[in-house]
Amino acid sequence: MSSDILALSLDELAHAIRSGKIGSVEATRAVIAALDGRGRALNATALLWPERALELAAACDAERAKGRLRGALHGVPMAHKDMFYREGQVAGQGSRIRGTYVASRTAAVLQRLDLVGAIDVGRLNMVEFALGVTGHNNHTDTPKNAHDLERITGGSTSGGSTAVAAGLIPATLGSDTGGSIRIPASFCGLVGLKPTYGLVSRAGAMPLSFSLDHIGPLARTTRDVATMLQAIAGHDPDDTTTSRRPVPAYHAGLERGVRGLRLFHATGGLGCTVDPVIDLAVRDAIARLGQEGATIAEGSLDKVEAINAIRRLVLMAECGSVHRDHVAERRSDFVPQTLARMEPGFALSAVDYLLAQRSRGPALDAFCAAIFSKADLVVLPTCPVQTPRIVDTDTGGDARFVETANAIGQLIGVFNWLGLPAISVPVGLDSNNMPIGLQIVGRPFAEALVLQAAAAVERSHGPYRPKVFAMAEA
Amino acid sequence: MAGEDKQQVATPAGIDVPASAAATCAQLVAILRDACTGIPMEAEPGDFLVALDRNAQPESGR
Repeated sequence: MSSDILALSLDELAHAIRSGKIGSVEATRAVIAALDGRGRALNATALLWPERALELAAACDAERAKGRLRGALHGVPMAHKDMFYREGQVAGQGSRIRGTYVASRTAAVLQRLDLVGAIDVGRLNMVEFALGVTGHNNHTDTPKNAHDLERITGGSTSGGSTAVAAGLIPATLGSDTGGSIRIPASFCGLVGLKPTYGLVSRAGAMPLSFSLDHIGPLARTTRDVATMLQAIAGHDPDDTTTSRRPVPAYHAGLERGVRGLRLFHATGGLGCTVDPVIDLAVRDAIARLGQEGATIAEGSLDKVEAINAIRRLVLMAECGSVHRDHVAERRSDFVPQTLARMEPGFALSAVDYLLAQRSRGPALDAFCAAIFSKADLVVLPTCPVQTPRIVDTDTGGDARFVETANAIGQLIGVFNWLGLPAISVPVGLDSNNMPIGLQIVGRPFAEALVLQAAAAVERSHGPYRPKVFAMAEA
Repeated sequence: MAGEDKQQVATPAGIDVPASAAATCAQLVAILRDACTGIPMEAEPGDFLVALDRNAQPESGR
């Protein structure tokens, strides 16, 4: 019975709890047991709060019995990356340095999930300080991909992505500074959305690089991602970068399909060669959208290499600024991969950092004029490489590791720099039976359209369901 | 590589880093400066948020 609960999508579970078919306590017990068992075997689980969670779940059941529902996620249990602060609770951030940090406030995104009734059962492992795309973390041990325990989950939302893929939780929050939602979504067969910069508040979440940090959902279906986004989007006075634009209804267009939409398939100017197996799966998925009435044009993106370089500089400088004292005083407490990614930023001058920031607005204007004058959405692979094995990418912080990380994130970071909404949706399996992700990118604040296209992809491929093996060892 | 990593260089941030890290930064800065040739003198960092709004999906109702 508990496996039946865990196999439900977020939307299905929320409906079952709202209608009384499943109790919140029953669902919360199932999720806690799964995270405590299979979750620890996958190195996904960092910290569980069973007493707090079950108390809240019991309150939700009592309220439902009286006809009162808190919101769309009434009584639904989930867990999140160990960087989303909850007042009075430890947020270890995948690190030794902040391993005992007790948060003094609750993250805005958690407050919003609380408001619609979600039950927060604990925290999930992540890359140290979210700085890394492979998922490696010597402090917590590296989370294992539920599809193949020898392969990486991608990062930095490593524990969260494999927990959702294994069917331990229905959805989770991630952060994406250079792919930390979309890369694990791609490698774990999930739908993961990095929203427009400024759509979702970052207040109360661990900063990595404040210009590039985005918070968004990972789930097994597009509808579930829309549900999560609906709950967390919108202006927050605690985050001055958040937009005051009204939030649309993200579910409204999910069934509309892609007829009449103009898709720009980015095949050139990528700065890398896409693995032929991935290229084939992505082309097949795009062709299916063409059969459903979308028009497709192939072309090149401009300045991808330059934007990736600029984004790396800004990321390294900003996280260097956040962690300068930690590096000065506790260098040996960092994992080598974190230091390797961060250290070049200490050598950047203020003049060059500001030059990069001054170029960002013009770069967005130029990209939108070049691409969105002739297309509604950009489509391309999420990752140009197949999911690597943990052992093959466990090279410490040497040049090979940096090279691997850059290759994995080659097609990702440009959309962090431009702040555009970008989703990864599964479109098939590679030669190792590992998931492949298609990335769909829209204009600023075009999340509804991005979700609409992702839902069409999902209809043609089928939503991802956890396999039996994912829960068998729980 | 091992010998190179032992060679530390001072940085403006006051943190010594491996020479290879400083070289990576210099390489990326060269790309930055080349890409930013012709950026208007009036451009400033806050323009990005304005540009997001200016380029927003017109029919999104947002």
